[in-house]
Amino acid sequence: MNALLSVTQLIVSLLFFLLGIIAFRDWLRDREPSRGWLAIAIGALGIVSLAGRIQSGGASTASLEIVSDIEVAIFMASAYALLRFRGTFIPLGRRTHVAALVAIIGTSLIYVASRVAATPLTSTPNLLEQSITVALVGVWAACVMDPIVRFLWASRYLPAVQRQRLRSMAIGFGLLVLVLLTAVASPALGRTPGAQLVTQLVVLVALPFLYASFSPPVWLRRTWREREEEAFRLAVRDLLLFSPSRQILAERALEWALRLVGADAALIADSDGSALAAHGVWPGRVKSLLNDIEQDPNGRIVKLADSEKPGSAIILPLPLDAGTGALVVIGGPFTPYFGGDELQRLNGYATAITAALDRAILTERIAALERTKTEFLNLASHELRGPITLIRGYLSMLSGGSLGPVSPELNRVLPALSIKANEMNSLIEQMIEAARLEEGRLELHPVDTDLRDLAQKAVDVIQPLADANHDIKVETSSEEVRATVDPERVGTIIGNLLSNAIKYSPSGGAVRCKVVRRGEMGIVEVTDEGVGIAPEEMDTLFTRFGRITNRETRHIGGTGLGLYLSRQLARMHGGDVTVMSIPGEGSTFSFAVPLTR
Amino acid sequence: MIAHSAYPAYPAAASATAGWLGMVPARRRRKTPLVLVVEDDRMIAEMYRFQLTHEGYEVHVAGDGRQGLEAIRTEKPDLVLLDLRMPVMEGFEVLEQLQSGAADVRSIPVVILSNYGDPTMVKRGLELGARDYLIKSATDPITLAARVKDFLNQPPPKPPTHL
Repeated sequence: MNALLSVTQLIVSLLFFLLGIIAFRDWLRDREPSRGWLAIAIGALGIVSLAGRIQSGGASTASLEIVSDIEVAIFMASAYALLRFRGTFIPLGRRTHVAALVAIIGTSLIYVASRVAATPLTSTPNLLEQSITVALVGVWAACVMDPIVRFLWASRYLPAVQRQRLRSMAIGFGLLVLVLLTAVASPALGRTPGAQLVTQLVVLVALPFLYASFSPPVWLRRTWREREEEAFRLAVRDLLLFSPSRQILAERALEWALRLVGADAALIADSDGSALAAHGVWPGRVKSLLNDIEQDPNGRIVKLADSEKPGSAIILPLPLDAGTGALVVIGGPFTPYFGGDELQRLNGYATAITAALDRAILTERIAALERTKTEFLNLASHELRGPITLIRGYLSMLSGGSLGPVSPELNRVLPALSIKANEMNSLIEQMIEAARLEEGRLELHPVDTDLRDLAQKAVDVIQPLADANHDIKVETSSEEVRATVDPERVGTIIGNLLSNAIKYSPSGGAVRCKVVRRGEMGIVEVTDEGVGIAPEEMDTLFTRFGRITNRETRHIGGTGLGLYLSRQLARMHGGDVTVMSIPGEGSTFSFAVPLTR
Repeated sequence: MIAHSAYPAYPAAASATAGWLGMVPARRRRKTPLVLVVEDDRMIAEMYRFQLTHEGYEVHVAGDGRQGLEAIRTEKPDLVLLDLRMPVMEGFEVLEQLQSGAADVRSIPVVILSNYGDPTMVKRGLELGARDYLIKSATDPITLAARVKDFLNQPPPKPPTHL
């Protein structure tokens, strides 16, 4: 048992010492104060532990005392070093600092003094000695507990790796504090070999935690980071793809900037110096922060002069297309000081934000363009309604005789003028309908109607437009074909199909308009003997502004809105417009709509 | 060509009875009904004036909403044809002002004659008390004259009753 204990003790001490050496080596590689303090804290514990082994190995009484005194000093130094280590992350108040220093030096001196004064012969420590030891360990524990609590507290807001590192450190030192406090609280228990073995095993458990805290291996860091990285990747993708405006994008980007480095406040400035988004930064400060921004492509860490509490900020330029903006993150009282790691992480993130912000401008522009197009369609069509009102108005007055007798010559040209003016009017109406459709402002006014009547009316309107070689025939079923539709819109659909039939059969022929019931649907079929439609042209047929222009149809005018509108209107009625065609022989367009039940 | 009406019109009066005209005191003194055209496009106003005069109406023209409102208040026309998009005062404001005016002004029938036919605008116009909403480009002067005749022969709408 005793042998096992001795071996374990030796292993623990050696490992502790090794840990100290690793920490020291880390500091040598990167001489940051934080690493230095941590190396001292752990190294000191390693020395104390190893010295304890030498001590129990049997040295002379005199040297034992000296070693013990130095041991106490080193032991207390480890607590101080840990406190200073905490200070490099989380600002250490001056009062706390002084109080801790006084307590450490004071108790150490008292301890040494009491040992000098005490008679070495007394084997059992008296009450005074015992209470001094308790005080000593108490001060040490207090100095260590402060970083533990603070680290646990601060770790909640930190990125995954930092959070886990600080937690490991808190657990590691927490276990050491536990062991020491137990030993002091019941010295008798500490002397039994079993308890000592348990103690050593606990310390052995604490070692990997301490190791992970200052030098976590890559695989561990990757594991810690994995979940966060995944969420971060998704967030950045969403940022890039789904941000409706730059404002919203900047606000979302800020949330992640805060999380990435565990900052307290942050702000994103646009190229013109205005704040696109700000979190926890009061407006007055935005201006002074932005004055600080300099053209440093890799960004920099600054100490904030205007802040009452000590803290640092990272200022990163965002090279936007329109000029340089900035990403500023500011640490708070519980945030660790920013370092190279944060700077690097934010730098990569800033690149994504820059790209996203520039992309958002593009998306906004495209959306605005699309809006402008529809607005133009709307505006132009309404502006055109004015002149056509006048032209058609006077034409109708001329034909109606209000303007006096009309010469036979004028009477001959009047129908042509009227037909063309009406054609123009229907084009304008199509544009207005298309604009309404796109803006979602199109409302149907359905009434129960017989489709045969609507077809006949449409044919009556179209008839004058047809020339002599077109023969328009209406074939209707003998029974009613009733559907609940907007008569005006369905009139437009049938009119469109009829006028297309005439337009696309330039060499004339029969145009048949058939109205039938087919199952649950009422069908209006318009068949021509015209040029027909090639299969590869079917796709463009029903698209907005989609016109088929080949050698045979190039001379035929139109806006390319007719069929698009017809199909959309038919679909709004729960129906559709479909086509069947043989090139060179003709086409059949079918408008189908549900019958009134 | 059938007159385009953006909204189902009131049923046309079955017969034109002169007695109905007598119900509005202001109209009694006139031999020919007075139609006020409130329209900022002079050429279009002139076209309507010509046809309506040709069919025996007295026609006055106001070039913007404010002039129109003044003319309605002073001349008490038998029918107002009101454009919507106009300088100085828009048609909707004219309707609002009329609604809050005296009873004899409120009872004058107003028909909107506009080239804007958005469902929302039509709804608003009718809510503000217009008798009908006609699209200019779809209403040639001859059709308009026929509609004017219908409106003048139509009994004024009864006040809402709570039976």
